[in-house]
Amino acid sequence: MQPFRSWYVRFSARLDSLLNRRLAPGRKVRLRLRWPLYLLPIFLFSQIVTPHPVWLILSITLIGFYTLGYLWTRALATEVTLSRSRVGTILVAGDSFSEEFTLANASRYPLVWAEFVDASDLPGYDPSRIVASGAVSSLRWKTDVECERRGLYRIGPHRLNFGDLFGLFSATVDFPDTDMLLIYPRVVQLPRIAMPRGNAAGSDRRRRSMQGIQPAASVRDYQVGDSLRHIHWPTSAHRGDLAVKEMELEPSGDVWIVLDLNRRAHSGQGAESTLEYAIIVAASLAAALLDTGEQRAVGLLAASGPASTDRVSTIGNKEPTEIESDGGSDGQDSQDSRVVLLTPQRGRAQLWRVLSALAPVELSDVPIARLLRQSASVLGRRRSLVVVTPDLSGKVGFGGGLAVHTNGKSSNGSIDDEPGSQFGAPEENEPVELDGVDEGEDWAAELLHLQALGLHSSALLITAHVDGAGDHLEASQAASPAADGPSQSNVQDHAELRALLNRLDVPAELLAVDTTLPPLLTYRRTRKDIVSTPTGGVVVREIEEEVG
Amino acid sequence: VEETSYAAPLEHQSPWYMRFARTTIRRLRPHFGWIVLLVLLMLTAMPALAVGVHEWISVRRMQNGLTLVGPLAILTFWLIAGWKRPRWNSVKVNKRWQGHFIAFLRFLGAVLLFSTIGLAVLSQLFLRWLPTLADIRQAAATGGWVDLGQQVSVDFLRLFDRYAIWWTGIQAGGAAQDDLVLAGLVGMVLWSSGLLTAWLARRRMSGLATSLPSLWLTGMLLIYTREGRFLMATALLLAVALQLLLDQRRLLDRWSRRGYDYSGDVMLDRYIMAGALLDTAGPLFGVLAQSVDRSHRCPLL
Repeated sequence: MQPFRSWYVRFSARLDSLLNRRLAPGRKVRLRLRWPLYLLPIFLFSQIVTPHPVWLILSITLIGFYTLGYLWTRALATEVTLSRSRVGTILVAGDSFSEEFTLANASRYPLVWAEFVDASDLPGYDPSRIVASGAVSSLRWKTDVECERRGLYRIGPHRLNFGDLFGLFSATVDFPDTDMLLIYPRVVQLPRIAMPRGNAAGSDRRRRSMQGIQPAASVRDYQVGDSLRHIHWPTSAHRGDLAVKEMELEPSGDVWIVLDLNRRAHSGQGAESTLEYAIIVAASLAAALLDTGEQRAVGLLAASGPASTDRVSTIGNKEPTEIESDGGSDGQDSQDSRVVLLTPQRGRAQLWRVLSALAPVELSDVPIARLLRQSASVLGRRRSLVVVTPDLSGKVGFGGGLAVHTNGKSSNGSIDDEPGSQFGAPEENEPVELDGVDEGEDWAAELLHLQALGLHSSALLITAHVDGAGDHLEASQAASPAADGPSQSNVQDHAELRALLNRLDVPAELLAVDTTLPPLLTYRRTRKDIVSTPTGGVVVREIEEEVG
Repeated sequence: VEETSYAAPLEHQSPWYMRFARTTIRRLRPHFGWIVLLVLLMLTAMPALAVGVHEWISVRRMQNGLTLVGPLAILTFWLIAGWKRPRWNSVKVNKRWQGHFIAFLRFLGAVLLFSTIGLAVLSQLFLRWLPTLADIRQAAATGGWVDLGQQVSVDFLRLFDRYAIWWTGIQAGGAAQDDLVLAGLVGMVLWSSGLLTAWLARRRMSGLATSLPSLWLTGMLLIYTREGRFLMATALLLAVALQLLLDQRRLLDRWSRRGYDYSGDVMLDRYIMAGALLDTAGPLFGVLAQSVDRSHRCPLL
């Protein structure tokens, strides 16, 4: 049996190569129905032994149909092409994505049927269908889909499967080209959000040089352009070279948006998830800061999961950095998480960079506290920080973080100079040991560290529930109360966390995912709607609507 | 706002009997559709028709019954194995020896069942042993149910008597031709062929494979006669049509399973194109075969 099998495999391979001789790569013809051909030798042998028209009719019919089928399929496999082109360029979640397809058949045989199989990974988008085309003609069609979710998606590759008229041969034509589709997150109008203190624009700093005595944090070597007023004469005399004082200035208008993508902190699925809402909030905040009259410089920091970061290597001025991950339940290693980092810049171009960077981000195993700690050097000094997180455990580890300050045992010398009470830390805050809470995940404590370094922060807390903790939510809550009321402990958590952060001079706001926020940009459009009536009639309605 | 009204659908305008017929056709539609069933019935009738034109075999008045054997086998198999939805295709065979044993038992059961039905069908076709409505009415009027039962059993056992006499004749070396015996033997072959065809249609969904038993039988019968070549051509045509229909069915199943959007016109275009091609290629192949046959018989070759 084995020799026969190996012979059959060799025979099949040879037959396959014979059928596909001189065909372009990616185009393949296959013999689908093989066994009738094995009857041919029997017919011919029977004709020799017992000559009869029956054998001839059978042989000629068989040869005739197979020859015709092969010529048909091969001609189509050589001459059929399918091209696709996108309609429109910039897409925001909720927009309609359109593609135009053109099937061209240059052969003299009609394409009776062909399966167009598409391998795009855009959610909800499957343009696969059955198409047909006459000889030497083409077919065009268009597909539309609503982009449900922001992200970076692959459009293509696609394939055409078809066969001859009688199903004896089949052919596949592969079109391996792919295109990447970037769907930006939605941008909405955020409620009024308190920013960190010292929210003057960064450019104002240079114009405030005569504001009187300001605390000096340290001295450094004089550089050309430094004000002579800031020269520290005792040190200069001591060194024999000019040294200038570095002032503890108010934080500049440069704002870092730090987005928490830790999968342990997020909850919910799809558009109702805290992840999607946090991304919308981050994008909207960037839009608000970059496009308002102040025109601040905005940067972005997040640790994204692996699924998207693999595909966004060319987006923006992201500098991939390895961050130690939490080793989450899915077993991803630390190398899978990468930092999305956009240094603060001004202008509308930066807004698109932020949106591009936010579009493909996914959940990761990096806690925001770890991200903040390991990125402290990148964040710099005298800047503002807005943390967007659904993690309400910040207050839990706060005791541990505070202990560092109150005991004065921090390894960072710069914060030893400042009393712990400056942060409003009550002395009764002792280190708290709680099951399952890692001290290293205490993001509130990390904010305190950064505050000591001159980075003043505010927090946007994303929650799946509506509760009374957010002042701006009260009105919306009254208008549309949540279906399931928040638990008492959740409300208490929010309130405690907000109160604690406010005491630490970290303004905190609460945003619930079920709060409907109006789109930042809207336009009016008119569309036609066709509806059928119970009597079998058709009514065409013109609808004018405002779309965001 | 524009409003356009359309006429009521044809369904509501038809008379009741037309609506009834349409509903019945729709509800009783077999698994592969009425057209596939019709082609299968015609195809399995071809060997019996080849017997009819054969010069050596003559079953005379039993020819009509013989023609029905193949189609009846198809209908019987499809009725038992699931008319609208195949029943046995979903049976999974356990790969251990118990599984094979159970599958073998199931196969034996099926053979026994279809053999019994075949015996009943063939004997009824050739001997008409089942009582007619008139016989039953008469028995009901006269109360002669016992007589009717005896008559039925005698008619049925006549089949075995005829075979016994024929076998005795063979053993004696001088059996006379008995149409019933000959028709019974051919009927058994046709019954088996019909069952195999019905099973292949369900199992393989390949028109050529399905039509192979009938084509083979027709070819074999026509080898020994110069008549009835049109039967071979018709059988080939039916085989090609079946291949087309079942292949289309396979594609439709796949497209539905994968959720592809398709138009029914694709099928229609394919049928029209195949019809046109067969119309051209059929005579061409016939002429070619005839010329090859003549040249083959030429003494110079």
